[in-house]
Amino acid sequence: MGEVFLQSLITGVTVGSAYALVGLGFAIIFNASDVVNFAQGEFVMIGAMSAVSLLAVGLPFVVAIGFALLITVAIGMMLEKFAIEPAKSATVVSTIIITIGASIFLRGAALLIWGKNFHSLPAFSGEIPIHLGSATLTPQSLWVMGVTALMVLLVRSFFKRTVTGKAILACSANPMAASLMGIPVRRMMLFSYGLSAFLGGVAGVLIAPIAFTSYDAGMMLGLKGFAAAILGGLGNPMGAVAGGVVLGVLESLGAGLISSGYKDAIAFIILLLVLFFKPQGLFGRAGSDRV
Amino acid sequence: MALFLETNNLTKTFGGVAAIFKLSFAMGQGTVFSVIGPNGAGKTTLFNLLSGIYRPSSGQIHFRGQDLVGLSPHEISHIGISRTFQTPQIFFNMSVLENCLVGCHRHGVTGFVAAALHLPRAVSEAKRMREMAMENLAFCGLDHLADRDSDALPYGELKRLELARALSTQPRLLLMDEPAAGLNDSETKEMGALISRLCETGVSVMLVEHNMALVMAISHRLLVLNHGEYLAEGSPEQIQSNPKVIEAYLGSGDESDG
Repeated sequence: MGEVFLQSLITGVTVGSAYALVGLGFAIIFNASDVVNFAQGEFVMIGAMSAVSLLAVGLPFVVAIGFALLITVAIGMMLEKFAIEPAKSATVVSTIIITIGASIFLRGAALLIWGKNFHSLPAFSGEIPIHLGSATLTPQSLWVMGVTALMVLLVRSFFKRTVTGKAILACSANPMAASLMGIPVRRMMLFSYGLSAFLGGVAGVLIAPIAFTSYDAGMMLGLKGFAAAILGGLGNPMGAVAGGVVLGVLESLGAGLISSGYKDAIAFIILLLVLFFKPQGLFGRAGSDRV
Repeated sequence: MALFLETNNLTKTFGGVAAIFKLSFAMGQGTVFSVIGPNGAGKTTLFNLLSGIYRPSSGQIHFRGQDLVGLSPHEISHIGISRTFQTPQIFFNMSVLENCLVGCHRHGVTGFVAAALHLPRAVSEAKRMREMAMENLAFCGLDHLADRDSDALPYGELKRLELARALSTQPRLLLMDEPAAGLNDSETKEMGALISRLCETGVSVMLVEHNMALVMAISHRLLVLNHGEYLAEGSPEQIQSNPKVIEAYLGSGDESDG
């Protein structure tokens, strides 16, 4: 029992880190524009698949990953530039539907480019597992947790301490007042999509050596990341991160203690419970509108 | 020499109705310049044209020799025009100080990476912006509330916060849309004193305001609009005794009381 628990915890935190990065991406775009970007999961897939392809053409590992992240950021910004920006007078709900359309488009394009096969990246630094009592920890898990922690700290410090971070928050609170304060709202939006895509791409590259990736891998990861963001309180970046880790741990505990067949169901049951009983999320501030 | 602010045949129509029609006027630097007129005279439309929210249907706007027509609001803000609103447009998801910091945004130069990594340049810049924001809060008498959530402030303080935020963009010209609306008598007096002090520090102020006592007390010059058109311009004394203005406000009949 104890060993199952420890092993599930390790696996859970690893998978949860990926959810956390995806959830963080959701929170950033939501914070900037009140839009839930359902193409977030596709960024993860594009990051991983691009890295696989670039590696296959013979690029060195680090270069391949660097370019894969660049491609992901470019696609994120193109999504904003060519799908979101032209619809700038659309309501939030219409924009969300546009992102769903974009996610289907990106998935379809990935199917045409990469086919239906599963792909994987080699682990960053070997496969020799580290033993912690009866549980094992792969070096890749450490990479996932470490890089996620670093990303989270950078993003947190960006929004907490920098004026540009505040400027992005201002865009969501009141776009008109923000632009009158000299903030280029569209450029901030472009930046938010780029940053979210980057985080998604990082998650994709980190998790690809552990989980296989395919053209439709983004769908489930996107939904889990969304669940993480909801769990943490949408629009609360650090809540999304905590939500991701909690979700990952609960999911793998459920898989370990009950049955692995229920793994995905657990995530969505949690999502439903949160939406029913605490729609502002575990760490979200209760919504209040001033009249 | 280029004039400070000048419009030439400025027109804005909404589906055939002219909210501003062939308006030409000039405003001098370092003055408090008020725009008055009955409801629907086009005062707020004029502000929206000057700040880039609306694009003129025709005509020109020149600010310190530069053509403003076609510039976006954030570009106009960078040239040095800022504004406040009739109803304060505060970023309610932030603290008082953070609202002001957003106003400082255009003076920032360090990038995302430098800022996130706390490079020394970014740290000193952040400190400088903080000081600037605090100065502006102090100017508006809000420095003791810097760390409060902005959505907890009463109305009068929100109006002053919006002013402090606008000042953080370091404007040369500040457009103020009804700064006294919703304020009580003593708050209105404070606001008037604040605007006068602001003008002394070198910021020119264009004011739209219905409180005539305030307007007459602090304005150097007034522009009167009626149905979107130029009606009169002059010093407070000239305007108060101008028969055309009296007629526009009171009607041509013999009813009294405006």
